[in-house]
Amino acid sequence: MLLYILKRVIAAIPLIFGLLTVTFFIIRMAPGDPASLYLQGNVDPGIADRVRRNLGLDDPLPLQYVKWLKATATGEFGVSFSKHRPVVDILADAIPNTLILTTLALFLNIALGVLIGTLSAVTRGSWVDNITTVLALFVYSIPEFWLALMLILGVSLHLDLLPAAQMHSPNADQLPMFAYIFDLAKHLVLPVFVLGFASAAATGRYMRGSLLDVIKQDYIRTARAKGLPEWKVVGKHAMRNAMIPVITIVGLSLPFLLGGAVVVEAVFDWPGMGNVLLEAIFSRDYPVVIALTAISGLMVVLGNLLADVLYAIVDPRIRLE
Amino acid sequence: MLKLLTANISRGITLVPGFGHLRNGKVRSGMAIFMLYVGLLLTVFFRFNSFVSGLESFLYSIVLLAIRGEEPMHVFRAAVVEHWIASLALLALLIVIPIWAYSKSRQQRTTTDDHAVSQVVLAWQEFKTQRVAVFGLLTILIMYGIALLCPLVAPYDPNALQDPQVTKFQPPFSSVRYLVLKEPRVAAVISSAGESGKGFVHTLIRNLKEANATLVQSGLEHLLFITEYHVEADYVVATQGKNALRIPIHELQGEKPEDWEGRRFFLLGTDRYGRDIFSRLIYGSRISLALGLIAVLLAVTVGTLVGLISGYFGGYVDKSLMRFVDVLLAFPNLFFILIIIALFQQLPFPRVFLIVAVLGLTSWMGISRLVRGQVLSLKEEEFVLAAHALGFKHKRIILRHILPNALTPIIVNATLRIGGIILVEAALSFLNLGVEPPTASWGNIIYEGKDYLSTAWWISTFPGFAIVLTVISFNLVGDGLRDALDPRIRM
Repeated sequence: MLLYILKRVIAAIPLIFGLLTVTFFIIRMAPGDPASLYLQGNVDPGIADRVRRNLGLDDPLPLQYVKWLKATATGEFGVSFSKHRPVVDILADAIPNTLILTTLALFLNIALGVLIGTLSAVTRGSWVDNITTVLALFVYSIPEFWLALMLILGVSLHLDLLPAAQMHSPNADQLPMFAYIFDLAKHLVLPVFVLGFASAAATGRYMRGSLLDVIKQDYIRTARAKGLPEWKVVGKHAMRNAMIPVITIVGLSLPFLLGGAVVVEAVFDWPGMGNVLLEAIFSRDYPVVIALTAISGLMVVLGNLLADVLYAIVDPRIRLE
Repeated sequence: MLKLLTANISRGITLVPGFGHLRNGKVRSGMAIFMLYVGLLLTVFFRFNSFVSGLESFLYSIVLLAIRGEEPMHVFRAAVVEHWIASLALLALLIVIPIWAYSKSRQQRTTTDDHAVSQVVLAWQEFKTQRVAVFGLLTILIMYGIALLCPLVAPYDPNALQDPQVTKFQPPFSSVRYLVLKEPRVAAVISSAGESGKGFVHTLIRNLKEANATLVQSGLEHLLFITEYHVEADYVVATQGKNALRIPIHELQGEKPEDWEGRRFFLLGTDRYGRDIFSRLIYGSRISLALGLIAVLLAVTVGTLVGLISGYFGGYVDKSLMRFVDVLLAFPNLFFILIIIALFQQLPFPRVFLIVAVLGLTSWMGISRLVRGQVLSLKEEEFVLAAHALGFKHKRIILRHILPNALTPIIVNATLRIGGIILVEAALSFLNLGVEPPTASWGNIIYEGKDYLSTAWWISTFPGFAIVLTVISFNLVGDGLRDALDPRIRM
C-alpha cells in the first residue's frame, strides 16, 4: 500500500512541475511587457527600469523561470496591487469562507446524488426512474448562476425567508454565539443548495450506472438466492461496491472545494476565493491571479492523487495492477 | 374522369411542402415541414419591406461592385450585412424546402432488405425512433433558423432606445403609448438626399442608399413615447412620467387622434434602457449558438488530431503528448478560462474571438484521450494490419482507415460538449467577462437584469429559459446520437 502511494506521489511530481511551467509561459505569453503586469498606468521609464531590475525581469528567461519556480515552491506570491497586502494574507482570509460553503455543498452533492442514483437504479424502467432521469437532465442543463438568481427572486425577495446575499447580517458581530451561527446557517442555505443540487444530478447518474453494473453481478444473485430482504441486498451488498466510483468524485472535487464556487460566490456576494479572483481580474491584480492559478492547479493534482489513493484503499484489486 | 381529376389533385397537392409526406403516411414529418414553411411565409408576409430591401441592397451592391470595382461605402455596416444574410437565407429556404420535400416524397421507399444501406442512413433510422431526441434536434434547427434570420424575426431593433424614462422596465405583455411626429426626431443614419446625379450608376447608388436606409432604421424615428396625453385647442399636452410636453398639433402625423397615436407592444418586457427583451433574446441567440458550435469544432479538430497522432505513433510521441494533456487537464476549467481571459484582455480585437479560442482550446483534452483510446484498439484490427501490409502511407491509413471508424464517439462527445460550452459562455457573460455590451448575449442580459430582480424580474428570467432549452436540446440530441450510433447500448 505504502509503495503504491509512493508511486502515485512520484508520478504526480512531473505533473506539478509541468503545471507550473505552463502557468509561467501563459503569463509570459500575455500581450505587453511583463513589467507592465507589475506597473499600473503611465510610469516614468526610469522607475519602470528599476522595477524591472528589482523583479529580476532583466535576467535571461531560463533564470527567471528557475527563480519563479523557487518563489512559488516556497509560497512567495508577492504583494497585491489593489489591496497592498501580501497575497498569502488575502488568500488566508478568503479560503475558510469558501471552504465552509463548498464542503457543505459537496456533502449535499454526494448524499443527494447517492440517494437519487440508488432510487433510480432500484426502480429501473419505472416512472420513478423516468422522472428522475428527466429531472436530472433538466437540472444538469440549468446555468447555476441563473438558478441562484431565481431562488433569490422566489425565496428571498418574494417570500422573504432567507437572506439574498453576503455571509453575515450587518449586525452579526453583536449577536450571541448561537444566534451568530444560526445567522450564518441562514446565509448558507441558498448557495449550498445551488452548488450541491446541480452537481447531485451528475453524481446521481454516475451512481445509477455504477449500481446497475453491480446488481448484475453473481454475488448479488447469491445474496438474493439465500433469501435476504431486498433492502439488505441493495443496502449492504450492492451499495458498498457501487460506491467505489463515487469515491473518485470526492477526490476529483478537491479543486472544486477552492475554485468551483466562482459564479455562485459572485451571485451571492460571498467573500471567498471566487470573489477574490474576480476582483483581481477586474483590477488587474496580477500577483493574486498568478497565485490563484498555481494553487488551483496544485489542488487538481492533489485531488487526483487523493482519488487514486482512496480508490486503492477501498478496492484492493487496483493495487495489484 | 372523376378519378383522373382526383388523381391529379392528389398529385398536385404534393407540391405543397409537407403534403407529399402526409400523403405517404408520414404524418409527423409532413406536419413539421408544413408548419415550418408556413412560419417562413408568415415571416415574409410580416416583414416584406425588410426582406425585399435586404435583397435589393444585396443586388445593388453586387452590381455596383461589378461596375465600379470599388466597394460602395456604408454598405458594409454590420446591420446591413446581417440583413443580406437573413434575406438571402430566407429566400434560399423558401426555394429549397419545397423542392427537397417534393423530391423526397416522390422517392420510392428504399427497402432495407436487399440494398446495402450506409451507416449514416442506419443511424438516422435508429435516431428517428427516439422521440425526445428528434424533438431536441427540431428545437435546435429552429433556433439556428431564428438566429440566421434574426433581423427578420425580431420585432424590433435590439439596441434601439428612445424616451427611456417612459419605456424602461415595462413588464411582459405590456404596451407603451406613443405619438407619431411628422418630422423624424433624429437625422437618418443613411440618407439618399445627396444623390441627385443622373445616369445608371447614380440611380443605382440612390436606390442602394434608400434600401439601406430602410434596413438600418430602428422604426423609432418618428415616435415619441408618452404616459398620457390630451388635446388642448391647437396643442397636445403629453406627459412623460413627471415631465409635461406641449406639442402643436400640426407637428403630429395626420389630422385625427387615430392617425397620430399608437401603442408599442413588448412581449417579454423591456430593460432599464427601454430595449425590447424579446428582440434582444433573439439577437442574443446568435452568440450562444454560433460560439458553442465554433468552439466545439475547434476542440474536436485539435483533440482528434492530437489523439490520432498520439495513438497511432505511440512510443515517445504518445507519452509526451499525453503528459501535456494531463497537465492541461490539471487546470480547473472555469478558473483557467477566467485567468486566461484576464491576462489577454488587452487584445486589439473583440473579446468574442478570444472567448471562442479559449473555450475551444480548453476543451479538447477529453476528446483527444477518447480518440487515442479508439486508435489504440483500431490499430490492432485486421483491416489496419492489411492496409499496412499493402504498403499504404501513414497519412492514408490514419485518414481513410482509422479516422472513419473512430468518428462515432467523437460526434457523440462533441454534441454533448456543446451544451457545456454554452453554459460556460453564459457564465462568462454573466460575470461581465464575456461578450461586450451592447451586443446582446443571453448571459449578459441576465447580468444586466440581476440588480433589478426585485423590481423587474423579467429581464433575468427569460434568457435563463432560453439557455436551459438550448442546453437540454443539445444534451437530448447527444444522448439520442449515442444510442443510435453505439450498437453496444442498443443490446
